Amino acid sequence: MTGKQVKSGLRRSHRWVGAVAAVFILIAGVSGFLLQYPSWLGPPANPVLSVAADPFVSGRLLRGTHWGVEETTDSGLTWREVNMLAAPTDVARVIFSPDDPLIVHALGRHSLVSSRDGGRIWRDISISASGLPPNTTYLDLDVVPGGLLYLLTDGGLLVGANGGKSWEWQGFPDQGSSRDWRGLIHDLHTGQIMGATGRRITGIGALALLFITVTGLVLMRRNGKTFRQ
Amino acid sequence: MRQPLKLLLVAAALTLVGAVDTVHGQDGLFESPDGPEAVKVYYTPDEALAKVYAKADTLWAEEWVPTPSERSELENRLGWVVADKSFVVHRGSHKGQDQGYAMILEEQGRFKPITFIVKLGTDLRVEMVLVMVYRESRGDGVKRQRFLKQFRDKDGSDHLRLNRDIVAVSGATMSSRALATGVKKALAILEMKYAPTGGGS
Repeated sequence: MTGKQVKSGLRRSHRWVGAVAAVFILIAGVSGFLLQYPSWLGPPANPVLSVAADPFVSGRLLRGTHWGVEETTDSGLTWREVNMLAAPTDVARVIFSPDDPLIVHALGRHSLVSSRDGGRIWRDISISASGLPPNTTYLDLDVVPGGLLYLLTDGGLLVGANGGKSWEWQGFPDQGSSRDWRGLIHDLHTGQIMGATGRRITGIGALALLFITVTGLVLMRRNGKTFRQ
Repeated sequence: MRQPLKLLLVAAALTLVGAVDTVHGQDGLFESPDGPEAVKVYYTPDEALAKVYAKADTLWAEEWVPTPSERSELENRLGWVVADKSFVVHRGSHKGQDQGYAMILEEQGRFKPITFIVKLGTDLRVEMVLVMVYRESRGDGVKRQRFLKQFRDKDGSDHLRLNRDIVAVSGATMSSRALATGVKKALAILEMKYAPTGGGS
């Protein structure tokens, strides 16, 4: 194999790899741009995340969804949204109190709400404990007879007494797991790490990538060269 | 050739600074649970009322103390406990003609409460929302009309759910939620008090 053949092979493979890379750039560019304008993609899906049966009323269930809490009175045939002024999102747990089934808790990603009349009128349960960061993610909840609430967060386990009026860490808060590296990488990709300016820069960057990719392909054709040459 | 390289280096440095700031922020080194103190007053109550009642020649305030049954009805509408004992409604008129209703509200943002005014027309639809006081260092994008104008023409039948009916400001979800909650509350209160079929007096 001569040096000329090696060079030609290298050039050809360079172009093909470049063309394949362009596809990835296109995907990254388009998705990066669309991430800046989520409203263009329509409302997000509303997956069901949890369900709880009313121990008092046969056929009545409450379920937690991405958008809040929904209710059925016909064993799940039809559902309607439970009216709440500030509904929690990503409701991972709906739970009736074992002491008093009129008391219902719904645990969202960043808020805990509670009702004392079976789910008609709700209130926000303020969770304050020393060292609890404001951006804590709530993961799971359980209620034991006697009214104690066990709340699992991404920073550790909390125990709530008096219907959630006072909270304490069960053991020490787990500081190490509070770093959200996925979120950080997502924010880096979308430019949100630098706030509104970063998002604008990323949007412009995504458009620029699309522009250079498309114009590069057009210019390659115009110069009379194809991928095979 | 060197110029783009320099720009690239500056962008990379800025990104790194942002990344370090975010990680530290999550550790709570730069943000205390009480939040950074950065009170920004955009409108005093008088300025806000002058802005929302620009045409009015007379302004007055009415206090509504709901009866227990009215409070219960309001809680049913909101699906939420109402802690306030009374509500102050600002009214205005121009040459005797009613100019609508306005309420100054406070709702909890991420760390601190946000003070804002909600102005409804006589048809009980939102005409204007203005952020009056913002008390945190980040997230004040909610003061922009690009976000606030989403509330225009909404009435008590609108759910005002975040990212479904109202698109939140990126990086200011809690503040956006506070505004949406406050507007919904104002709509329910004013509709109950002033709608022809309302139970208010």
